Amino acid sequence: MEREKKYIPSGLAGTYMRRIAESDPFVREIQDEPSALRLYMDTCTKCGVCAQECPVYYGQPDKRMHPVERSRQVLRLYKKYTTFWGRFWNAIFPKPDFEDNDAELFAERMYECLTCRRCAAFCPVGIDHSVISRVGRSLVDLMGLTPPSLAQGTHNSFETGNLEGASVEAFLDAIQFIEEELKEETGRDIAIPLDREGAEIFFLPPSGDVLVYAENLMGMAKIFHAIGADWTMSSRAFDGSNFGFTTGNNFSMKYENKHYIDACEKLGCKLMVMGECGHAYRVMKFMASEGRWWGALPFDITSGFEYTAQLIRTGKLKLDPDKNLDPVTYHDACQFAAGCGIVEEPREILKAACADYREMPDGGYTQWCCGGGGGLSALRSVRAFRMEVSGKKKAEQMRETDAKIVSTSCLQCRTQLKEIARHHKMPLQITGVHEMINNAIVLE
Amino acid sequence: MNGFEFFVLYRLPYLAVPFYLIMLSVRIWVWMRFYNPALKLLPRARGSVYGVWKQQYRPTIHIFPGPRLQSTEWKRAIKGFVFFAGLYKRDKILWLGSWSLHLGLLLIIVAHVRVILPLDLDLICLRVALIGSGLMTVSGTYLLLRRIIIQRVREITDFRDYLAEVILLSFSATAFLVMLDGGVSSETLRHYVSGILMNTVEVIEVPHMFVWHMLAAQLLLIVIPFSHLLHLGGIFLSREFLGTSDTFAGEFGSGLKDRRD
Repeated sequence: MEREKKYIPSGLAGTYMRRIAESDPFVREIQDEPSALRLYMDTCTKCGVCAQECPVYYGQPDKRMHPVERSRQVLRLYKKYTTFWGRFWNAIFPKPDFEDNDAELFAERMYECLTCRRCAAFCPVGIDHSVISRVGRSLVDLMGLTPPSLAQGTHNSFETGNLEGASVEAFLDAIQFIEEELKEETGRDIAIPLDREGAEIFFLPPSGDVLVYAENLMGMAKIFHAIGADWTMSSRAFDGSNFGFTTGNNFSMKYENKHYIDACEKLGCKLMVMGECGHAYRVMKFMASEGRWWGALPFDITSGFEYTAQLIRTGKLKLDPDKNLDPVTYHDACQFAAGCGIVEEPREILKAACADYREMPDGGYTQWCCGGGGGLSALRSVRAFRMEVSGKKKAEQMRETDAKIVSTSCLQCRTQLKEIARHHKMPLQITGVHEMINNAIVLE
Repeated sequence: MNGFEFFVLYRLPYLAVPFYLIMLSVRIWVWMRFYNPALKLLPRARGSVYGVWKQQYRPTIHIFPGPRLQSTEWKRAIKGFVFFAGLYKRDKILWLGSWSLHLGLLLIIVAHVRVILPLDLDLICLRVALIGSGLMTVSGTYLLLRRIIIQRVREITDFRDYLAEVILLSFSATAFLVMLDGGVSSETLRHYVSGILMNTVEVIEVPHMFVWHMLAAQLLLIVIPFSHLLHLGGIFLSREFLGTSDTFAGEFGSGLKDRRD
């Protein structure tokens, strides 16, 4: 239905189109998503610049890790099933779908791409291999070979509205605990309002910021308290993340997103402020909203970074950088930097909240991925790959900054960076950006 | 004139040129297709094929979204497409090789306008073609050697890529040799082209190398739709996919300066 809604017109013409539409979901999946797939592979000059810039190829410079080679695995399926000559030759000389006839190897390879889009930033002809990897992942998903932890997270999100599959009771307990912490720390009653209809702002952090790394949520609660904002969270939709985007499953991606759109609409909020999850923000702001997946939305969308940076610019927040004396650097999460163009705001926040801010080498729009991008940091099974191959460059960069704190804007990056620091024996503290605000904010 | 020369000069163009045009159209069709290509045939499908294609929303692909001034977007597009600024910032040697190759190709194409202009531009055009073909030959040789020597390039290169580059190099090298041999006058070329257009064999006096140049040029037309040389057209569509010229210009995001503007 979703596909029909997107591409096939209504009425008689639509009836005709539906009749001749491809029935095999596997083939449809390759055909459907990007005309970019074919364009990219036709226009690739094979100059090798993408490999030069790829964190994975940097960690292990061999053919298997080459972005072009990975994309070729998807393209051969495309050619085989959707082009005349591909079908023709396959009828005469049948070939297996996958290299070595191994679907699991194919799946493994699709999850060796971090989907960080650094290749796209530097490719002389503008090829984005992450798009092709995502098509590959959608095929992997159709075959039921998505890594179990990602598949479970997607399932949980779909069923319960949050990755962890946490119950409403667990969420309420966590909120109560955070309120108690805030009281203990500040001596003030800083409430985290829930399900308040008619509130101005709907705040949507990733569930990890509620259940695991509460400091980000505490920081945000303090900000709202300091400016006297009229805000709320939802006890039904408290996870602003999106694993469907990662697994290439468009259906999941859209419906995970629908959870919190419904919640925000139901509460009648005018502004959705999203927390530190680049996947969710990109899907919400640049796909669901701009693409009108669910029609025109009756509320605006902004990220916590844009929201807080604006408050700092306008002098509405008082911060004491001396509360964060240790040298701090910032790791740009790929989805926020390349996917959402949010680069300056987290820096503005950190510079205002920290006494000693240092730039990470190559930081900004064309940052190097932490090595856990594209959902990899959730996969224990590829830990060695993440530490020694995909995370190699980031480990070198973190060492180079000489910082004691690495702040980042994404829970997945945070997990990966923590593991890198531990694995490479670097005495680093990994934090969220609003965690630094949590330390530095001055409440009057 | 022997049979080979006759075939190359007077028969192959009827195969190569239509083949090139048809295959290029097919390629563009494929790039612009979406789930159901037949939709584009509908007379009221929101205007042109491009119009339909343009309306497909591709947010999964847009990169560095953000507000930009129209002037910034244009400046970046020009910097990217004319000067290959993004590549220059990343790899200066590769930039030198590829930019001079494209410049050489442009000069060669420009030199051919003398065929359709009713002016006597032979002297200047022959010099432009000499410089262009020389530049293209040198840079093409570098790019081919780079493809063979550098591991990350060699390991993704297949036979078709080598073939395309060898043909391209033959095209420029033969053009260079023709120019060294004194070139071919506009008068002769007009005579030849009008003969092809009118389907009459107009015998012309040309250097022997011209036949080889024509062979290489026509082979080039045949291989372009099947090779990475196709990026000449695809690059503009890929810019549309990415939704920005940032990547081509090597300048990213809206920037604080723009925001203040």
